[in-house]
Amino acid sequence: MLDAPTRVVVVWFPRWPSLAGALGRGARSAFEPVVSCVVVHVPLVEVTAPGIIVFSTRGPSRYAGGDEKLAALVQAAVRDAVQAMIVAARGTPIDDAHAAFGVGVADGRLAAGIAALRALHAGEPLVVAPAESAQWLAAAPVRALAECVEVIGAVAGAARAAVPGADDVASYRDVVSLLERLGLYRFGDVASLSEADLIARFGAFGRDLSRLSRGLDRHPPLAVAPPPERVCTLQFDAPVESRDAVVAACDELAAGLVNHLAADGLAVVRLHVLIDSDHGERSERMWYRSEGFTARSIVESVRWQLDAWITRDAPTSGVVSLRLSPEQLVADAGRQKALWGGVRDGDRHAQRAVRRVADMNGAESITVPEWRGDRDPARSFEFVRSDAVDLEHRVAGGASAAGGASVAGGASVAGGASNMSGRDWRGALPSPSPSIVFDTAQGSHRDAPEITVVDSAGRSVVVDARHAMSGEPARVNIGEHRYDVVAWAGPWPVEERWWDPRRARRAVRLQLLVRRAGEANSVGEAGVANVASMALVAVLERRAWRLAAVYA
Amino acid sequence: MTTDLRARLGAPVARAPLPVAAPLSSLFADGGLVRGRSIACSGDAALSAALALSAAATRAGSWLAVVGVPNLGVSAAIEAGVAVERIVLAQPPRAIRDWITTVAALVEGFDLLVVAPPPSLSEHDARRLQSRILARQSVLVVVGLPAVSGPGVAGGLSSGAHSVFSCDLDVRADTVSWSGIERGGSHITQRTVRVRVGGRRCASPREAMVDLPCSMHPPAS
Repeated sequence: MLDAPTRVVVVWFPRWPSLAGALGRGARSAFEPVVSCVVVHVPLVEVTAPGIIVFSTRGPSRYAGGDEKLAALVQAAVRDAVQAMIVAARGTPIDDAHAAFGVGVADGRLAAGIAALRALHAGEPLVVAPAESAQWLAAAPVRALAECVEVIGAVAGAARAAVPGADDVASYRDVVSLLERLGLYRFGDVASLSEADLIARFGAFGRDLSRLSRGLDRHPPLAVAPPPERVCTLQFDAPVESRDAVVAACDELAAGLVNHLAADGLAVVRLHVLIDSDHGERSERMWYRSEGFTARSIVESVRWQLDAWITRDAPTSGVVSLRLSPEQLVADAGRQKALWGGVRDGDRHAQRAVRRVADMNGAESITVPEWRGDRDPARSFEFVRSDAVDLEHRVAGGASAAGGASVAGGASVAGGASNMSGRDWRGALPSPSPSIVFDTAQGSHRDAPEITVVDSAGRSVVVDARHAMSGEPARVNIGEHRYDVVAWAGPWPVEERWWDPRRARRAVRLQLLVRRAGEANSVGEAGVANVASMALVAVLERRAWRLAAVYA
Repeated sequence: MTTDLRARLGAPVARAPLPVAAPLSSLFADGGLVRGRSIACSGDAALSAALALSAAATRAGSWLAVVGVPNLGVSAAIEAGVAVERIVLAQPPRAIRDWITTVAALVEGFDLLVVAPPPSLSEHDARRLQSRILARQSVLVVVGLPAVSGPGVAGGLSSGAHSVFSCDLDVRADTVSWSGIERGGSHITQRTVRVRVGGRRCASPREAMVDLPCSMHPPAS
């Protein structure tokens, strides 16, 4: 079989989670309009992650009349789709940097990923000619390896094992830093080394590294005889209307497929999922997992595809058939279970419980925090629906899924003033952080309660253009509760996007230490939850004070 | 060291108490949170104390479900040392029957539950939940949140509801002093909390002054 890289198009929004967050939607569901606008031109796309679409040029390119035309077509379609979403969510401040995307065309996922990143601010696609692709990649810095981790897939187990406890991005960074210290700055330098030497130094990851640097696909084509047809099809006797029923049925099918392949020592990395409705409507999509699909991740992909199909196309009848066809198989090198920190019984039990609760109350009722980054304490973490994340991968990858935050946790406390090491946001609240936070942004569902902050004369405290308060805060009223101000810090201005009158946010934060009025030191009734002193953060925006955080 | 090793390997000694990190561990006669027990956290630093109590266990591999705290400050949890990849936040339905079923389902899978119960929870329901905790050998931490009821909170933060639980241990965390903040200057740099541990499973009440978040967690290896 010919060992040549597939020529692919990568459409990449590097800051998709932030954009989806700004639009007030989940990363996955917000991405669907973008996917559907690409699907108009290219029937079969692979959604690698929310924010990344990859598809092969073969076919679509001929249809569009060349790679350049195809890329331009996709670029225009995606730009229009994103503009439409931003217009639909008018009033919400959107940072242009969040909405930036790149379209790259090259041979192999890595080269195309790098091309997409280079095209990020150009506003037009970057197409690397087929003949030049290998040379072009050779000139690219190895640093791109860490930047393109989402496109080329997570690091192999071996490299992770070499750097204990590290997450995907961090271990790629370590590899990159090692390569640079060895004087290998460009992919060309790495490609000039023999594969055997790289394997000797980096283990199984060395092979990936060698292949990637030479511009090949990470997984070599199978050298064994083509496996017998392993398409799994599920036919329903009667059309199934319920999404959950289809997903449940798929559970068994996926487990069967994975076990069947595992018996031959194979794993699926690319899977084609086809769903047909009774009225002949059809949804098909390609899925890619560099580390191979587990039964769980197949089910997750099918659920995602069904969700997208139902919300976008609204099929008019129930599902009659579901087909899983493995498009690319690799020899399963097995996942090295770490002696420390592998998947344990506890992890499995917790995941099962999460799934049960999600089935009972809906997946939005049970969430996991993911780092997003913002100076607003309520927005620095996003609560992501539990079915939109792979909990197992999250734990195995440690901090990477949680945005490096847990790594920061250890360091931050020792460090004192700043939390989130290396991900510091200027103007964020200093440590210690409040344990209860309210979203003070306008139109948010986690609305912050309105409060009043008054000076000793009973006038509302206001802040002038130079951030001087009209008087010292003396009392705070929260609902029917009255509090006396003991001490305060601030006011701290929060000025965001002041250059854009439409999206500018101008607010002032005040940290307040308060005591319940009239009961300075007494014990409350029955001795429960008497608030002796309480620290809170209040935000003044558009002449109204809101409670932003409580140090409970 | 050896217990740590065994716990990490998932050996059957997992029934050992859940670990509690340094300054707080001296307050627990059993060296940690004994499985199957319930702990009531009260005082103005109740939530911070609950997070501090859970931190070491999550780092050792236990999962933590935070139930009914819709506005949890995740940064505060991280500063307390909680492993963020093992936190799950659940918002059960308001109807009390559904609430119980949801929490019972979570007890099946989680070693640690930090729960802010709804005000309408009855003593009977609380007892049922506690017997479930005992059967599953999890640890229940009931927190009372400050009463900051405003129009926007709509009962999201309530206090005193945890009294329907008759907990094995009572942890009361009251802030004694806030350092850094003045009348108009600096900002809160540290919070000193008096933590008292008492209750029916505690032979003699213990007390300690602790700085929260306590800076005792070495970065996880």
